[in-house]
Parts: sequence; C-alpha cells; structure tokens
Amino acid sequence: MNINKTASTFEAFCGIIARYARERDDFALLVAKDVPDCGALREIPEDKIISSCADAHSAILSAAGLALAGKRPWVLGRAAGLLGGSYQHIREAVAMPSLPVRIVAVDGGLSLAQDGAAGMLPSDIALVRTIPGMNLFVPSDVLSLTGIVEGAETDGAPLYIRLGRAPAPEFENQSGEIFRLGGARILREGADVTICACGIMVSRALEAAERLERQNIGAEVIDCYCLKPFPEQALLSSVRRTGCCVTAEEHCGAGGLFGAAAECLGRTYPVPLRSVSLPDEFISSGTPEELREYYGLTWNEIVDAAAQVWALRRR
Amino acid sequence: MDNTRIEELKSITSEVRKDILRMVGMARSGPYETPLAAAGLLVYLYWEELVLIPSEPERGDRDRFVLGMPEAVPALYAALARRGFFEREHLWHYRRLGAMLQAHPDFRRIPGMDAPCLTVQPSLAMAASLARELASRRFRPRVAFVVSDEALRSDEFAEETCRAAKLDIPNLFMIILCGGDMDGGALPEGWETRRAAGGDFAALEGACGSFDFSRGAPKALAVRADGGFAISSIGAGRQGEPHSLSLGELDMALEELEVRSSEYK
Repeated sequence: MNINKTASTFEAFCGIIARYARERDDFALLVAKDVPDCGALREIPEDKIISSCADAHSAILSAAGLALAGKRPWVLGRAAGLLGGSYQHIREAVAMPSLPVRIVAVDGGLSLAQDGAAGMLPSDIALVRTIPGMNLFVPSDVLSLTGIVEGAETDGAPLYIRLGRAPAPEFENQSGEIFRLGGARILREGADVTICACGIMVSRALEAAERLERQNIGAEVIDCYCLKPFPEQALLSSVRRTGCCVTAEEHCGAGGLFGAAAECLGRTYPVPLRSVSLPDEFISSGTPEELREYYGLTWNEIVDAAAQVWALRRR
Repeated sequence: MDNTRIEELKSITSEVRKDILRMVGMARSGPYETPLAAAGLLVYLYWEELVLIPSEPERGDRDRFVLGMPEAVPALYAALARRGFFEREHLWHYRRLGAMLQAHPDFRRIPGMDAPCLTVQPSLAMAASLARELASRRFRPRVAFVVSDEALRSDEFAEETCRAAKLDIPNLFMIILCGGDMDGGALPEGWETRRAAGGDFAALEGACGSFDFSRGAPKALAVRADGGFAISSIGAGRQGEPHSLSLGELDMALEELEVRSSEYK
C-alpha cells in the first residue's frame, strides 16, 4: 500500500462540500458557531450557508425544518456540542422522522485534547450507533471521505460523519473501491490476523502490519469506514481465514468499532478478539499526539494485541 | 363569519372533543386535558384558516401545520380524522401496537401531518426554518406553529424568537396556547402580535384576518385556552392529578359533552 500524501479530512470535507454547494439546488449547510475556520467554507454561496445558529441543537432543528421543505442539509459542528449537547434533538428531529440530514462532526476523538475532558467526546460513535436509523461513517482519508459524501448526496438516509483535523495519509484506491453504506475496504491482505481500524488508526494499523510481517505474521488490514450498518461480511470473510481479530480506534472501548466487531463475531463466528482503544475514563488534557502515546493508540499496541490473538487462535 | 358558521364550528369542536375522550379512554392512557383545551383552536385552523385539501395531503402549495405541544397530540389526531384526512376508525387504535396513531406521532405514516412533533426545545427553530424555505416558493405557503406558553419561558425559545424576528419570515405564524391569563410578557418582541380567546371563533377570524402573511415580520397569536368546556365528571376526588380515564368517567364525560353539544344542533 502506497501512502501518497497527507490531508486533514476536515479541510477536505470543506472543499468537497463547497463544490456540491455550487452544483446542487437542494444544498444547504448549517454551521454551528464553534466550528474552526476554513477558507473553502467562504466560497459557498451566501444563500446556501447558514452560520448564525445560536447553538448546535438549533442548527440540528433548523436542518430538520429545511429537510421538511425538500432540502438535503448538512450540519457541521464540533462533536462534543453537536452530539453530546444535541443527542435528543438528533434522535427526535432527524432519526425518528428519518429526514435526510447529514451531521458532520469535527474534533471527535482526541483532536481537542488540550481543552480537557469536557471539550472532548470520545464516545460519539457509541452514541450514534445506539440511535435507530442513523448511519455512521468514520473516514480515514480524503478518498474514502469523497466516496462517502458522494454516496450521501444520492442517499436519503440520515447519517453522521466523524472528521479529524490532524493530517491523515491518503491511501491509493487500487481496486477502484466504491464507498457505500455497510462497506469496508481491504487495504492489505494477510492470512494470519485481521486488523480492523477506522479513522486515524488505519495508518497505525498499516504500520503495525508492516512490523508483524517481519515476524512472519501476515496481517489483513480492513478500513471500517462505515460503522453502521456494520460491514459484517467483510469482517467475517477475513476472520474465517485468519481466525483472530484486533480492532483499533480513537474511541472509548465500549460501543465503538470494538463493540460492533464483538457483537458481529460473538453472534456468528467467535474468535479471539482484542481492542486498541481509549480506556473507560475521562481523558486527561494534553496534545493529541501525547495522549495517543499515553493511552496506547499506537502501532506497537496493535502489534502486541495482534501477537496475543494470533497465539490464541484455534488451530 | 356568520352565526350559523360559528354554531357549525362549535358543533364540530364538540364532536372532536368527544373523539378525544373516546380515543384516550379506549387507550386507557394519554393526555386529555390539553387536547380538550386545544380542540377549539385546531378546529378553527383546520376548518377555516389553513389552506389545504384533505384528499391531497401532500400538495406543495398547502399551508403547513407544526405542533410544538406533544401533550396536545390527541387533539390533532381527532381533528385530522374529523377533517377527512383518514378514517375515524384509526382513532380507536390510538397507542396500540402497530397502529397508525402512536403516542408519539410517526408523521410519515399519518396523512395530514406535515412535521414531527418534538418534545425538545426550541422546536420553533424547525418551524422557522421550514417557513423561511417555503417563503421563497411561488404560493408562499404559511407555517402555523402551535406551542404552549410554557415553552416561551425557556431561554432557548426566547433566543429563537429573536432570531426568527431578525430573519423577517412573514409566513411564519406562531400560535401560543396560553393556559392562564395571557400575560403580555409571553409575546415575543419583533413579531406582529394579536390576542384572541380559543373558543371565540369570530375573534380568531378577526385576529388572523388582520395579518398580512405576504410581508413583514413573523406573526404571533396568543390564544387563551378555552376553559369553558371543563368536564366536571372527570377526576372528581382525584385533586387534578394526571390519571387515565376509567370507563365510568368516560361514560359520564361523554354524556356531559352530549348534553352541552345539544345546544349547537
């Protein structure tokens, strides 16, 4: 797998959405007041962007109103306010009536680590996964993000996308992958251990796979960009060959990628499973990179977990 | 509005109230005090004010109705059924498993419902956004948004009323159902405002008719809930606590309404 260049998924999203704003009549973007500045957003025509919403929950309800009038609105905000502060609004005004509102959260995970525990919401994936009818995406690079946004423009389902502000490597689309609901992409093939990752942890998983290769352990790396509906077939077909699995995510251990994989495997094909994720505690403040190191969101944690499950697998 | 029409509307209101009591009584759960209080207002809106065709509930040029009071849902169901959007038979399955009329409305399943009924505030944000979008359309449909005066006391709602006032949404029509004495503080600044009593159809017509929905600020109408219908047989001895209607209470309440409505026939 070649890694070409790096780009933040947040900045990439702003660029993509600015293009759609010019092309589509039913486009609308609502921006909560605390969203970081991005030049591309200033290119959106004035009648298609609403940035005066008092709070994230007002933006959610306004988006629902626009959707009732036939628009296909996007809402952009920070994860903690957009999801943590507006959970019930999303549930009632978007998910229950199944309106085509696309909710995009920036600064999920550890991106705002310097602001402390109250400013972060590392459990956003778990919250969204529990809302019936909501689709959930965590793109790892600009390519998957572009595919997801294109899919969302043609699909009428409500969805949530988590973006990061840290530069993320861009992976080549060797197989001409079409990004879709319930999809995943295999970035590296291997027969000994399955590593499922999402978001920023995908590049760590690929690095871990390189290290495992040196120990003669072939790791298959799956980019689970769609967490709901969960790509069960992709995971099952991989673990049927490898017999074990590791998940890696910048999210708390409960209810995220590990939870989705455990539910799927426990129900259908139980195999040894380990998780590389944040602990069940309020996160300390620090720089995002410091915290990733401190909480073990690194390639060597993935290597350790992979070696453990590989040793435990049924032979 | 002539006296004959007023009597007709009173008669319809009485029938809607009976249906509310029947549906809540048969379901053995659900609110009935607020729905009974809101019945007159909804009858006025659906029979006189809103531009709609029950046989074409999805017409693009219809006025939209947004209910911002979940506790008044049975009144909306009863009014929609009586207005002909769906068979009254559905009312008797209110709150039942698989029924069209759920406790919390599934607005996509119910003919005539234009928006979800939210328990969260400020639900005005949704109505205002819908109205603003519709204002740019050829027929400029109005959005009638009914909310309790309780909601106006929240800071979030107050912020949203200010925002709607600044945006100049002339086709936004907020109707505030006031339980008490319609105190002046309840009406938002920056809106064209009027007042009327819920059971006084002539006053409602006068207030609505005085608005120009094609231009100007958003409109607000404070409506005093019609308390004249209070049913003496409900809740006797229960000190006004919320409770489900027993069959005995239902029978007595219906009989009482029957006696009162005989004066409209």
